[in-house]
Amino acid sequence: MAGIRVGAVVGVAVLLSAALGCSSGSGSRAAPSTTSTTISRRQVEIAAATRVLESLRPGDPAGFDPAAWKDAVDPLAVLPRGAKVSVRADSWVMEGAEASADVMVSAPGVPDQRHWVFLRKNHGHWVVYGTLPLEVSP
Amino acid sequence: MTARRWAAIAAGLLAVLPVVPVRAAPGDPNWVCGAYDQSAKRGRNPAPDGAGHTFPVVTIHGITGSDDDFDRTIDKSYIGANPQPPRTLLDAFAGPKTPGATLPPGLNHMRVYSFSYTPDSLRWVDHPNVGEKFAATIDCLYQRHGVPVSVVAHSMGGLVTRWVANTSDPAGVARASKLGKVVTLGTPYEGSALAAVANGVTDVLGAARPAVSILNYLCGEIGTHTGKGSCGWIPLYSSLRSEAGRNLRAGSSALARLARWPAGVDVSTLAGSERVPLALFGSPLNTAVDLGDVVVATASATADPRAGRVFECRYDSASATIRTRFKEILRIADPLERRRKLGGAFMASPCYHGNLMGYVELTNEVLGLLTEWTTAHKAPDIRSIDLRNTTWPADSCEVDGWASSPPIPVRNGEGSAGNRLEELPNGHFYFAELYYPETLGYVDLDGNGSEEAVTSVRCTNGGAYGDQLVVVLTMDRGRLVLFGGTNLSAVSTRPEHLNLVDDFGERLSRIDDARLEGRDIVVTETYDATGRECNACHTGRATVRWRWNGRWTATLQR
Repeated sequence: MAGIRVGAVVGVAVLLSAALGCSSGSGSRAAPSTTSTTISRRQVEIAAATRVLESLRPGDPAGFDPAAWKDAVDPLAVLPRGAKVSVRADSWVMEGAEASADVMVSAPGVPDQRHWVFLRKNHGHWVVYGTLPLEVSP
Repeated sequence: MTARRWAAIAAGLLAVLPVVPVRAAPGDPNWVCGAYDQSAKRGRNPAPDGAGHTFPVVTIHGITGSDDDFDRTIDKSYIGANPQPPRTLLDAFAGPKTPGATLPPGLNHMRVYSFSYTPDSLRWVDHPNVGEKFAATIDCLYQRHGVPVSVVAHSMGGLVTRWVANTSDPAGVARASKLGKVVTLGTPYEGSALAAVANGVTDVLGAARPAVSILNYLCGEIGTHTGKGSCGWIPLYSSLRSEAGRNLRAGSSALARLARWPAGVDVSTLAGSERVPLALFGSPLNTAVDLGDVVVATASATADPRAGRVFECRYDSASATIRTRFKEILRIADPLERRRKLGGAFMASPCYHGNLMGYVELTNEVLGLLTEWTTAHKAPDIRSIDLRNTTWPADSCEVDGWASSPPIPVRNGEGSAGNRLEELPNGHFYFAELYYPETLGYVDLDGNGSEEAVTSVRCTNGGAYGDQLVVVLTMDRGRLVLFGGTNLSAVSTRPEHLNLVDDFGERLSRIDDARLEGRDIVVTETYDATGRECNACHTGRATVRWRWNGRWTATLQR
C-alpha cells in the first residue's frame, strides 16, 4: 500500500515537473536536474503540497493547521462556496518544513482572488497556516 | 558584473544618497569634537548639575544617512489615538521652541551633538573615517564634559557604536567606560532582511516565511535574484549592495566577527514592527506577519541585548483607513505599480526603518531613557537636599559686626555656630542661630537652568525670638552655597544681599510676610526711620519686590 502511494506521488511529481517546469522560487534552489526524468526530493514535496492545496474545500478543516483553523475568526468563511484552488506551479518557495505558493481561488459568482499561501509540515503532512491577499478583484 | 550593472547601481546610489546638510563655514563654534553642537545651534544652554557637569548626548546615523536624519519633522503618529504636534528628535532634546517653556528635569542637563560620517556611510563600521572617527569624538566629548557620553544610534550607527565600545583609547582606557546610556533604533544586530534579499541570499532568513515572501514580492514577483524584478525604488535598496550593505545582510561573516556589547554598557534597543494580518483565505486570523521595520527584522533589532522594546504598527484593527488603502492597492492591475504602492504604504509607516527617528512614541521613549539615565547619574540638585538636616553655608545668618559667620550645621530645623558668650565690639556676639527653615519655593533665578531654593528662616544672635529673613541657596559643584539673602540688622554693601528697605533709606525692623511670585521674591516688612534708636517704634510698612538680574534690584511699594 505504502509503495503504491509513494509511486503515485512520484508519478504526480514527474508529471508536474515535466508539464509545468517547476522553478525554484527562492534562495533555497535545488540542485539542477541532470535529466528531465530525475525527481528531486523537493519536487516530491511540491507535489504533495500542491495536492493539499488543490484538495482544500470550503468550511473543511482538512488541509489546514489545526491551531490556525481554531484561530480563524469565521471558519465557515474559509474559502467561498464551491471554491476551487489552483496553484501557480512556478511560484513555489520551499525551505525545509516551510513553503509558500501563489494560488488562485475560483468560485461561482465570485471574482477570482489571488492569495499567498503559507504551509508548514505538521507530523509529516503539509498544512496551510496562513494566507495573505495578493490581488483583490475589483 | 557588467559595466551596465555597475552604472545602474551607481545611479541608484546617487538617487538614494541623502543631501548633505548645509553646514556653516569651518570655524563655526558649534563644531565640537568632530560633532555638531545641536543645543548651541538651537540657542539652548544646558543647566549644569550640582557638580557643574552637563551631560553629552551624541546622535549617529546609519548607512547612507546624515546627521540631518535626527532633525526631520516627520510626525507619523497617525496610527494611534493621540496625534502630537510635529517635532524632530533633536528639537525634543534641545527643548521646545515656545519662549519660556522648560525641559523636564534630566533633559535640561544634556548637551546634544550630532556625529556624521556621510561621505563614508557605505563603508563598514571599522573604517578609519567611520568607527575610528566616532571613537575620537567619544574620547573628546568625554574629556570635555568629564562624564560618560550617551549615544542615540540609528541602524548601522548602533553597530559603529558597538565597535567603538569594544576598543580602547590611546592610553589603554576601555571606551566602554566612557559610554553612558546607549539607545539603538533599528540596529541590525543579526543583519538586515532587506540586505539579504538585495544580495539574493535569503536562505538564512527562511525564504518561505511570510515576511521574506513580502520582501521578495516588493522586490519583484519571485525575488530579485531571478532577475525578474527589482526593488530599486526602495530607499536604501541600492546601498544594501555596497560594502556596508553586503556586511549588513543577515548571516554575513563580517557581522559574525563583530564583538557584542561589552559588559557595563547600558544599552536599550528599540525596534519598529510593521504587522500585516494573516488570514485563512476569507477568514482573518488573530496573528500577523511581523515585517520588522521592513529593512531590519524585529528579532535582529532587539538581539543584543535581548531585552529590547518593540513598537508595533498594525495594519489590521488599528486603522480602517489603512485597511481600505491596502484593499485599493491590491486592486491595482499593473503588478509593478501594485508593488510600488504597497511598498510606499509600508514606508509611510512610523515603524518603517527610515522613519523611526520621527516616530513620536519612539522618540518619547528615547527621551525617557536618557532622562532616566541622566537623573540617576547627575550630582544632587537643590531639591534633593533636606534643608532641615544639612549644613547651611557661611553667612546664612549674617551678624552685624562679624565679618563672616561660619557655616551652621542644622538638625531637625535648628542649628547654631560660634560662641554666644564672646562679645563683638558692637555689643553683638560671635554667634548665629538658625531656626525652622521653611522653603518658599524653588526657582531658577539666574536663568542658568539650575534652580535656587528661596527659604524663610529666623536668625538670632542669642536672643529668644530672632528676625525672620529670606535666604536664597543654590548648588555649586555639588556644594550648597549662599546665593543671597537678607541681613541680620545690618546694611550690607554686598550685591548678593537683599538689603530690603535699607536701600530706600530706612532700617528693616521685621519681615511680616515673604513669598515667591514667579521669579520675584515679594517681602512685606515693617521698618524704622533711619537714625532712630529704638526697637519697637516702627514708622511704616512696605512691600518690596526683589528680582535677580545679575544683582538684586528692588521695587518698593509703600
